[in-house]
Amino acid sequence: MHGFLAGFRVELRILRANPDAFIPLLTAPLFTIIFLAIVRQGGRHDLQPDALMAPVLMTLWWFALYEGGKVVTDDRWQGLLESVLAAPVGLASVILGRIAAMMCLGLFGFFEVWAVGEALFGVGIPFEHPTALVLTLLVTVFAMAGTAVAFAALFVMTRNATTFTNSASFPFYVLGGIFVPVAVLPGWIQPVSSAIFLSWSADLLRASMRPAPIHDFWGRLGMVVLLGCVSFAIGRAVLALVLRRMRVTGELATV
Amino acid sequence: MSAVAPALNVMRHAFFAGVADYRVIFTWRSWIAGWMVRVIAQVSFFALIGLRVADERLAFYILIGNALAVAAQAGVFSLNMTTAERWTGTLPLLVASPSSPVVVFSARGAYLAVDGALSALPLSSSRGRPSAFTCPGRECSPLSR
Repeated sequence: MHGFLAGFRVELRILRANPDAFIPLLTAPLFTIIFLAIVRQGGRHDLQPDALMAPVLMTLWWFALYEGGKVVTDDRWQGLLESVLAAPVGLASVILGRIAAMMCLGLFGFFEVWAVGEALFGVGIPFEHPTALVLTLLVTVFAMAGTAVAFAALFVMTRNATTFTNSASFPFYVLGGIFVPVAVLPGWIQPVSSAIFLSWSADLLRASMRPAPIHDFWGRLGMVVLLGCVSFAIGRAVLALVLRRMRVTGELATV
Repeated sequence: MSAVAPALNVMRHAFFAGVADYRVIFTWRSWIAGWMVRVIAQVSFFALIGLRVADERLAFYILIGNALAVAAQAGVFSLNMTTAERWTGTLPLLVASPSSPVVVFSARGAYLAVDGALSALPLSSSRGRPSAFTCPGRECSPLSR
């Protein structure tokens, strides 16, 4: 827990000195405008809540992928990895704390999207099931953080992580059904989508904004938590493997 | 003529320097399995939105918009070049050289125009038939509306 909190605090300071990290909060209003414009042009006012929720998920995903994914790689390039490893706390918990700080920042996207919808289109987020909505958002942030740890571990093994970060946005938006439900995708893709927590989160978020009762809420929420935990476990295992290899080859720092 | 030849020479070298840069970022394999997958997913994402919201007409409209966006997006990456030169410490050398930075940067980023065109190519395969992005054997409307 010490490592987690220390990582959380450090990341808040890093973020304050690194305005580049705020880019997703600049693009969220633009995506909100694009999506709302499309659904209104198509006369589908019933899809406005979905158009608001998609940019929220995109913002969180961006933070997890772009910022969370490069945490270890950046430390390695700056020659900080040895010091972090020498500390008497687990690296995974420090990373999780740092990524959790980023994800909390990503949650501002929710309020931003809400404000843009209200200000420009007069469309607010319908709180039909407020508790379900808040719980789903929190659990989604948790799963995002777990996934970001996996990204951070995987990216440190690559020659050029940018190649992967640039490529892993829209495929996951489609597979995660963040705007168009997974049920609409071809049948052979759907099992893949089921293994991605985004698809469960997006479905739950959409359901929590509709008046109809939410079917099997706790079961679906549990799936998001489970998939987030699995991602974190994979990330932790890969990280341990990578660090062991680096210790053997003497390549902890790449400076 | 004597002024044009050195400029062309600089442009040629700058272009190949850009291509060399790009080859560090992407191999053929990572370009196809990474970048192209992203482009196709981006197009599919917006086309599916068009189909969910309205019909093939709107989906096609969004598809064309995305084709242009994808082509332009690649070009926007050239904006990073000045910053990259600064970070790698080569910008002062470039400024001190007798060549115009405008000539160097425009030639160096020219490969991105080719990249943008190639990236937008898969979109032309739909030829105004966004149904290429619908779900085969599956009716989208009842689930989405």
